[in-house]
Amino acid sequence: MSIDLASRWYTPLTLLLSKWLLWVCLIQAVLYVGLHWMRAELGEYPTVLSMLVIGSLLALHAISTRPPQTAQPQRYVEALIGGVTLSAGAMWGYLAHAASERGVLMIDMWFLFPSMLTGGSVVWFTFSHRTWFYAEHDLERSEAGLADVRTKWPRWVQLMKQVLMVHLAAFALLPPFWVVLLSLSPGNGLNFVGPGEWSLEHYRFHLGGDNFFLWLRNSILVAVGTTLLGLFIAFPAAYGFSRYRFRGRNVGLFAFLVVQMFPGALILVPYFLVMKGFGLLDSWFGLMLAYTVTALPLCVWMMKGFFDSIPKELEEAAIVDGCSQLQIFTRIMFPLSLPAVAVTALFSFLAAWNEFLLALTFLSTDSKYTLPIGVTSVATGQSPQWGAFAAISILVSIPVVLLFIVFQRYLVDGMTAGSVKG
Amino acid sequence: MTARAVCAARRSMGARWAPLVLMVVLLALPSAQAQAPEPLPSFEASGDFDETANNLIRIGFFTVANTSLYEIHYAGSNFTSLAERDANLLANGFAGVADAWVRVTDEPGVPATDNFRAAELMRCWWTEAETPELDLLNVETSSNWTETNYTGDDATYVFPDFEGTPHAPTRATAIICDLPGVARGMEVWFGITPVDADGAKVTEGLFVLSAITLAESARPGDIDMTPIIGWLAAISLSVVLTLFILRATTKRRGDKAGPLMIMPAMLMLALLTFYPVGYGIYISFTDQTASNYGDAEWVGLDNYDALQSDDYDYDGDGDPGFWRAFQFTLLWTFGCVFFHVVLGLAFAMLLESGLIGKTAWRTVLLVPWAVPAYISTLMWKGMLNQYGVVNELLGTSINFLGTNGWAKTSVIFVNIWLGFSFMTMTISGGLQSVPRNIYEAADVDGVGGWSKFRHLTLPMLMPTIVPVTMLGFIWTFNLFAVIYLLTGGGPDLYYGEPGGTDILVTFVFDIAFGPNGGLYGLAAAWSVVILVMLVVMSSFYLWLTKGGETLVD
Repeated sequence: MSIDLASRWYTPLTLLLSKWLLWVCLIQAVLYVGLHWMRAELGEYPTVLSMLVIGSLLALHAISTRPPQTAQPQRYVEALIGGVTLSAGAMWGYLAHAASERGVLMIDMWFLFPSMLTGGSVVWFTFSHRTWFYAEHDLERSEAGLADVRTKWPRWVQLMKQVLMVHLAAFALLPPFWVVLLSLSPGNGLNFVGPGEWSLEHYRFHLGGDNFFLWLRNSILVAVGTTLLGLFIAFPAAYGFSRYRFRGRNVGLFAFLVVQMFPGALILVPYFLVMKGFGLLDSWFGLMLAYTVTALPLCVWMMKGFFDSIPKELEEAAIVDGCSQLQIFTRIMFPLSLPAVAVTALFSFLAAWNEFLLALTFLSTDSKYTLPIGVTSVATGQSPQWGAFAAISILVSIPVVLLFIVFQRYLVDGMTAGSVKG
Repeated sequence: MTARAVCAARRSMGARWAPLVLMVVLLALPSAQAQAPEPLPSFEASGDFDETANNLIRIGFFTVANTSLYEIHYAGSNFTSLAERDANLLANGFAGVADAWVRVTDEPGVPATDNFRAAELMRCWWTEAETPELDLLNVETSSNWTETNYTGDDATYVFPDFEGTPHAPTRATAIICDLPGVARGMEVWFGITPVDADGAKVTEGLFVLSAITLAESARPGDIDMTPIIGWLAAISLSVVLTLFILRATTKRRGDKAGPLMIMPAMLMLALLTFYPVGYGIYISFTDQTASNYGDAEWVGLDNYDALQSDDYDYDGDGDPGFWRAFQFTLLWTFGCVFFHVVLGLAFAMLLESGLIGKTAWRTVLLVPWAVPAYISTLMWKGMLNQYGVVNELLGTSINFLGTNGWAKTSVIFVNIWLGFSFMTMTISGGLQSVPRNIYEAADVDGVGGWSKFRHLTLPMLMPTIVPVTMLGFIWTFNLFAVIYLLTGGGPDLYYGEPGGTDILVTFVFDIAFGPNGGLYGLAAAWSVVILVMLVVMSSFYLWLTKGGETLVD
């Protein structure tokens, strides 16, 4: 008798799948226990929840991924019982919910439906693979089954990944989705309405009013000013660091590195007092200066890195041809480093555009508010205007999100080079 | 100035935003109202100039007999009825439509201990003089007026109830109160309705006063610099400076050119970073507050002592709150960063594991990072509301941001949502640079999934993970906006002590600019302590990544 390798390794696709689904059910059951603890009302749920947990545990224990080499009727029965328990528990839970005051919520369905299906499938799969549990392996069937697993398993894995990604996407998109709904719902409460009652009143309110455009103008002024000022100062500095060796160079570079790691919250109080001393509180110029110096280290480091990759020979040739330093900058370095300059500019711009803490501290006149402070003033205070907040959030976020999507690769690289957000 | 004196200064300041200056002028306008057959003859108001107060309007009125509650309604546009006021809301912007109450009772209320700070309550004074004068300007020092007591620790029997509503006794003949929530530089209208014990109006109709807040005219000291001019000046200055340096460096290329080029940047750094840091260390040894600006005295280590002194133990539980805030800062930082890294790693590996539609999914996962943080935080604030969508989805009714444990969980959860996306992007970038062929070799050798991760993927990812983890650590440690916007440091705020979700930086902000704020010296001392902690952490980071040597090549 030859060694039947195929039979030794063959586990039917459906059983492999059951195993995965059972794990999912087990995790869901544990989370469901947590949810009921949060609801602080148990009723008949302890029985339901323990049925879910015990059912999936039993079935998981019964179905091993290695085929049994001896007949194991007890596992066969265990798998059947597990499947039935799981399914019955889920159904009982459903009925209990349906009878309760709250009714069946979507989240209850999300918890119960997979268990119902999985329980049923486990029973069906176990039933149809009785011979596998009894170790009555058949070489031909095993070989065909192995081939089947090999071709189909990756597809199932891909499907499971996609399902997982759908959940992840829901997690990531739930708040934006909620805000879109809210911005289309009339009224300023926290409730949203269906598509039939949607209105554009909140958008009309912002686009027809003054505040939004005022804040927008302020933000643009500050952010564009920060970007230009930052580039004018950082460009020669980065060039100097990249091309020249002089005493104090390493100290200077190190200073830029260290400063980058101390966010604004720390020096807020002295900053405030210094700005007060300069008479720059509550002015865009003061804010611009503060943002520029915050973004400066990152700009210098990013551009220095790029300049390092431009060969020196280009400039040497230009010098031989009689170029002045200014011409080297305008004719050679600037055009060559345009991508780096663009990304650096984008960075300073976004940092200034999204900055919250310094603007909150420095600005006190509402006609000077930048968008972050303006938007915040809509959603906080004595009576938050949630609908209006939702609409202005959408208006403010869309351009920023688009910028992020287009430039995502550069932004990730830049962020790791230094700190901007925060 | 001793720590006790600092403490006294702190208590005496009713400033909502201490550094800001506001002038409040109230114009008595007993305008005839439609439904008011007999306007109260006694309504009166006068001007008030309060240098430390902001966002406040002070009003005064004489009491009406048989009243148990005064409802004060105010809005940024004129109104003759509540319905009209609410209808005008959308047309007139966020004019701070608000209501306030003053309760009239002889029973003591519940002492203010929970969920609000004393200074966030409405301040309220009453008098029992027979012919009271509404002396708005001097009410705080006048002996005829008694302030409704919020502290619950001395003899006056009038306490605010649990809602924070100020009380006045029935024998009061006039009441003066500070109304919060008024936007600066804005005209405000009021209506006051006296309501009796059965909830019926004592007199019909609304009595509307007109008030104007004049913020800008009361702003001495600030240089009025037209921002556009400053803007243009800065840019042209830097252009001129750049050109000058370039010209100069053309002549002496080589030796002096480098230092000249970095000079503007270094100057700026020195002036706007190193100088403030040094100045901050200096003021941490002085009694600098908002009111003695430019006139501070050297107090040595008093501020550092005060961090743990009993003077700041306002709620008398033997714990002034520094260590409590510090503990939560650590929990917050480690909790957030741990989940950021674990989730980022998991999601990045999922993204890079031959997923169909990777680019699309990647873009979707980018959204939490791309939406400005203050907006997402406010979104979550709305969703986590007790009547918000999260409770609706889960079928629960939890006050997520108002109970201590849930608030802590919620702020950490929200920050995980805000940050996992960036971590996923970074790590998936790192994963892409891991060569594929080592996995092929591992497959040939029959290495299992976990071993592959543990011995191949993880070591290859370390150069990516270690720096972003440490940077994330520093950012999270200093992350201000999330906690400030979600909970404001609450719940369980009690006077000047850190609340349930206060981390060090949010509390420093409160000390300096919060409702009880203005204590710049003390805030600076806290900042220095945090700075030292961060320097230690950063040195560890630099040592760990050998950043000091490799970055400065």
